[in-house]
Amino acid sequence: MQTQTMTAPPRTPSPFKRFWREYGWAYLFILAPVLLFLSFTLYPVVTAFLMSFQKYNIMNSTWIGLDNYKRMLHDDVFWKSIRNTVIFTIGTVPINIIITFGLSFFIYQMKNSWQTFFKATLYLPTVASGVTISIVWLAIFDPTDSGLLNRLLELFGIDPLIWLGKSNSALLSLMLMNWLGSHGAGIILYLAAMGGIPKSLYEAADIDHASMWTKFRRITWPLMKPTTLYLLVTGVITSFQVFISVYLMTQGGPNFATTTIAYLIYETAFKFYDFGLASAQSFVLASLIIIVSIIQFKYFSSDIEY
Amino acid sequence: MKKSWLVLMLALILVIITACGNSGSSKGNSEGEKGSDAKQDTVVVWTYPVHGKYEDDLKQLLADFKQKHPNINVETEVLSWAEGPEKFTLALNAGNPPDLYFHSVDGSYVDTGLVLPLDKYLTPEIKDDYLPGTLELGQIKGTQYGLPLYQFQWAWGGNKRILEEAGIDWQKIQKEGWTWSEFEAAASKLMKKLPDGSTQYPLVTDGTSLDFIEMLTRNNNMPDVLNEAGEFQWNDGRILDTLTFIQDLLKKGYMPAETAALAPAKRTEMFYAGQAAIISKAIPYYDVMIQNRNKDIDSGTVQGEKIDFVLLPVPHNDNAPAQTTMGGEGYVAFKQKKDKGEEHAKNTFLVMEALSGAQAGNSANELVLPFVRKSQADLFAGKGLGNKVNIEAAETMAKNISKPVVLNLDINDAAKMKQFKEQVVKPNMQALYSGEKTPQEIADDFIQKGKQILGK
Repeated sequence: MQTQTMTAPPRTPSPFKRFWREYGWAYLFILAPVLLFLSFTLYPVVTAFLMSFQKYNIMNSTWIGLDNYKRMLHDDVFWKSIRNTVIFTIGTVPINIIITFGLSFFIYQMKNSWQTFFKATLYLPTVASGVTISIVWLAIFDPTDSGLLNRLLELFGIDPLIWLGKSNSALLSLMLMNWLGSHGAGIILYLAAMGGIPKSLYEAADIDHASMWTKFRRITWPLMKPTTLYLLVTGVITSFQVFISVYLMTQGGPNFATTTIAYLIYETAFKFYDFGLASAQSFVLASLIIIVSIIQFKYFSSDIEY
Repeated sequence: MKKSWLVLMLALILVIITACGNSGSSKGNSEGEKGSDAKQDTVVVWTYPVHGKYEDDLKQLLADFKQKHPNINVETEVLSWAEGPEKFTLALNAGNPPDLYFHSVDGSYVDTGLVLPLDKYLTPEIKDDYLPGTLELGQIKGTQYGLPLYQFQWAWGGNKRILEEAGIDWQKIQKEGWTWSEFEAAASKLMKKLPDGSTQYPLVTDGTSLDFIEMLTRNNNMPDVLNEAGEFQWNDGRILDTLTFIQDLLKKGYMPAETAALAPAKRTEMFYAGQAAIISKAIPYYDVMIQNRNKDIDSGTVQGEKIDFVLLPVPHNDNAPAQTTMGGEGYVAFKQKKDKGEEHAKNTFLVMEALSGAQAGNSANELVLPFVRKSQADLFAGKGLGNKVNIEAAETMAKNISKPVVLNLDINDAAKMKQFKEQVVKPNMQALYSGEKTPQEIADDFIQKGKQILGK
């Protein structure tokens, strides 16, 4: 009996068992993030999508088809918010990229110790919270004579400006705040990318007596394209969702001059408790971001090799 | 290998069970530890720092309550005024509001179906204890949803030194009120350049809130955007007059040109700096608050000029009666989407009554506001904290009370009125302050948008 057992041919494990033995741990490890994604991203997104077709009430939501979308499209404030968001994005993202690239280019020419100093200094605003920065800027934009920017204008004999209180200057003021603040992460990325350009390319250019401009145009800029594309896409996504500065500094005013789509969603949901309409607005925002991102990838990544 | 898998899977299951089972059960466990009595219950209260000493009051009130009702645990959370409303809105719309929340009654809360009607819990003794007209401040269309803790009162606030230097008889104004013409005459005396080059403005308001226009329209025969019958009010000559009055104040420099960009905090800052003779929103509590600031200046912890605060009524149109904006704030009771049952509702009301009873009258006392209950008025008689003149002024103003219209409005109309104020009135007021729109353009816009939003 014993001999029979010992001489029996080894059983071949089933394919499932083999797969499980080989990859089980890997799947177990990714189970946690997948569960988190399903619970805290996919489920809320699907629920919000369904909510966008409902007149939401926690006790008794009613299905109203496309009414929320129709209401949204007939709402002047919605179109103003789209216009403001697009102006803010066009007015900040390209300028920010130019500023970031320019700063990185100059920092790259410096010694390592100075590079570290400037990287740390320019990264500081990224670490600070948006709330803190907004409060500082509120003091800078103070409309009275005691405001920092107004004091600066006074030195040049210019009358104080009501930065955030006029329709024609409020959005520009928020853009100015954005231009002067958020370059830290971009600079780190550009500097890393510049460090990765082979020196031999510049040496070859030197042999050909290429000017600084030519070297920039033919070597530096083309090799910066993947980083620029990344900053462009993430910058557009971030600026389409601009909220904190609007919420803390202008509350969408004056006269809707700074109402962005993200702020409008907040107002619709938390001031008017109209969660169905807010969900519809959110899906329009998400669709806009997806469309713009696809266009960016289509037109800007054609000659990028990874 | 098989054994290790088995152990791992068991551990995972345990972790999941522990994680899922833990949600919201910590309170249940503590109840069980306290004696596993079936009648044990926990009532959740979300409140605010109603006044400087409210947290101490709350501890005392709940300690007294616990002695009488040892089976009811009360979990309190004191929210910040800035973040609290959003936290509550989220909880309410997720179907899990606290059992009690400090706020005025609001039609949008009732609309969720989660507000607990209180009529069946109100005993005749409790009803009798409320002073005439105060219990109604917690009702919407006759149904009781909240128990008011005090009556709030909005007025204007003045700097006594500046008023007296300009020869303004503020005591007469406190007693008899004043008209828009009288205010303009006073304003012309209150405007001047200060030695440091800044301007002393007769009146400072902020550009973001609606209190200013709401108080002025009430003093021009309009109770609100809609009246109690749901009829549109801001669509005729009365609103045009009110807007023109504000524009005149701006044109004459009686209000800062930068009003559209002023935040409420800046308004207070200008008042403390002597740059505002009068501010457009004050509550009687400012008296106590400014007295405390004066003490801090004396002790050297705060720099600045000491101020004697005087409460002033809002001026009224020459052809309209004076009205004081008042309302009630206190606790509103809620049930959850997963209703915890009638016994829990009764317990919630017991806690609500404990937080609104005689001892709770200290809130009205601290805030220098009129009491809502006879027992509170008796307990705190002679213990008032404000200056006598300001207390008397508050009492005089309370004679011309204008109650919130929303308490009698249909819930749909109340929601539409809120939308009209936020999406039409607020931006138009900012446009008026910044000189981008004329009163006529705004009045026309009100009529047009009124038809769209209010359907009237």
